[in-house]
Amino acid sequence: MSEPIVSVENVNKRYGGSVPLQVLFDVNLRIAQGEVAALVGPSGAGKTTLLNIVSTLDKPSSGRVLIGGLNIHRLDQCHLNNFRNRHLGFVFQDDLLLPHLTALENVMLPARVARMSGHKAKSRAKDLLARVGLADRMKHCPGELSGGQRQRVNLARSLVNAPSLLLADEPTARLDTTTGAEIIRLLIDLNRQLGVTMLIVTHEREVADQTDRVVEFRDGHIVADTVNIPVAA
Amino acid sequence: MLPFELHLACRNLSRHPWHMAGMVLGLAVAVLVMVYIPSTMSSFYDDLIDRAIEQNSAHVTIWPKEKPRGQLDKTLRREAGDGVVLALDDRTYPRYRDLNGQHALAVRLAQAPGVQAVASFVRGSATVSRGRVNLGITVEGIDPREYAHVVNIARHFPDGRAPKLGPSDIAIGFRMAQKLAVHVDEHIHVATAQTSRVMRVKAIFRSGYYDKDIQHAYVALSTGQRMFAMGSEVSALAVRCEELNQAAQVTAALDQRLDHKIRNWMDDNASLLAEIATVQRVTLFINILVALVASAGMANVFSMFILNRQKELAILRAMGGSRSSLKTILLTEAAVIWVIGTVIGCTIALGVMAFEQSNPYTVSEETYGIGSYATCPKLSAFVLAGVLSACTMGLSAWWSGRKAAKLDPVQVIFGR
Repeated sequence: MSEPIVSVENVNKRYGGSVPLQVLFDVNLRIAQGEVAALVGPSGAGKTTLLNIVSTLDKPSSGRVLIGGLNIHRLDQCHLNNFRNRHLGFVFQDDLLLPHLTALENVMLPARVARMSGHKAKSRAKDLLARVGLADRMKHCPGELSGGQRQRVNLARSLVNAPSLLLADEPTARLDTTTGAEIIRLLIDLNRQLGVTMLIVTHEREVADQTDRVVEFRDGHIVADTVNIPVAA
Repeated sequence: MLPFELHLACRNLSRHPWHMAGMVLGLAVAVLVMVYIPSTMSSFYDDLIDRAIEQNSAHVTIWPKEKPRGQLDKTLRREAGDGVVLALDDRTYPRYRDLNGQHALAVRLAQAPGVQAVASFVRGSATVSRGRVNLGITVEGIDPREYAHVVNIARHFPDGRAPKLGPSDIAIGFRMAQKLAVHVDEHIHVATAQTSRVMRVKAIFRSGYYDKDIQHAYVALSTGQRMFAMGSEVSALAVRCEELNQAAQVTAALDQRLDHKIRNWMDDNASLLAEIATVQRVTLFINILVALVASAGMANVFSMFILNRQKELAILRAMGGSRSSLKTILLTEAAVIWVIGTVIGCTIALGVMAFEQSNPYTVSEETYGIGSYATCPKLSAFVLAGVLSACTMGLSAWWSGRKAAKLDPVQVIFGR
């Protein structure tokens, strides 16, 4: 196994409130560079919570997360924003595109947040939209696109800053089976083409089966960690 | 290419045209109120200043120094003893009030810095009568040409020129003329303590001041000197400054150089100015109140705006957008609304004032001394409205931006 890009070490997550709730218990996980790992499990198992912690949107109650050897939760807010923008890509369950921007502008947005020049951002965004098969839909707003097309835009947007890690939260949940399968195929293709590491949360076994590795969660614990053997073509 | 904050702000606004129109309209109305009220008050103030100062009194007046009362009483008592004080006072005191050597003094004054023109005048009490009507009045002896350089009395006369007054001519206010039932070229009887004579009404003026129009009259300077037995002396010297607001400076400078009693228009109109200052404070208070109400309204509208866009803002945060970027977006939106709203508000205010100029309000001349009134645009009111509306929008955007910056992306995106 190559050097891990993500290293989750003894991570616990508790939520306060009138009824305290612990959703992660001493979770340890290593994801190698270029690997596509699926986090699977029933609802409430803690997979999305772990994804949020790895994505720096949430903090662990204890334990640490290293990405590229960097303890991300020790970064101050400014560096954390910068890190998130340049090294992480997000694909959400809902496409979560800005409705008043065109597909091209939505894809360009993370690059513009990173203060990339307009010309360069546009060129990258066009390239990525072409890769996800939306070269002819660049000037369309999300309202004019189908669910699958919006998720492709979402995918292109997550890759525009050439992140080292792409985090996807149930990317096929709102799509029909055919479109969902297309999106997963696209994710795997992009992983092969660009070498970007992917961590995908899903509750669909068919999706998980197409990844390199399946990590199964139950009640905040990792109960299984399986490497998928590629099926010979 | 525009910075993404500006790009997003413009897109957000164009995506919600009704929302934006509502905010722009709200701000425009606030700006209209903030421009119109001070402009009206300021126009009224300027009109008052114009009528009270430019047309009716000198900027600075040089009077003879008053003799100390104690000294006067002592002199009278030693010379005449008790019982004849009034008789002696009547002969001595007017002499003491006269300004000696006024020609040399006028030359010195004309050369003083900040002084534009100097004119001498005599002033005293008299009685006018015609038929059975008798009125106590103030008679002012002036050289109309010289005096018109100091006080703009020409505007009081129907033809816009100060009349040339002969030895038996008198110019009286229109209310006095009404009381005496007298017209131009008719005669009235004028009596002072020293003389009594019949004079021809040469002109009738309207000063815009009730008191002046009913109890003030102008005669030639030499006539006035004879009426009050002043020889070649005068009561005082009237001074016009290069700028109205220089009066205090000129007064202070002259006070150091002359041994005379010097008063300026601000001393003479202290109570009026105090009242105007109060009105200005109230106007400012109203403006601030309007700005605060508008701020609260705008902040609420912005909050609703943010509530509808929580997910978008959370996505930006998830993408690495900083809190300051979110604030910048909202501040940019506020700035766009501010520019459009302020321009529209100012344009409407200008339109209303232009309409007023062509269709002035009719007001009671009896009460206000003027027949009609219209608000004039005042630059200061526009600047103040611009600043206050900027504060309004800045405050509401800052408050909303703070709330937006505190959004938790996990909570908004994942509903946790």
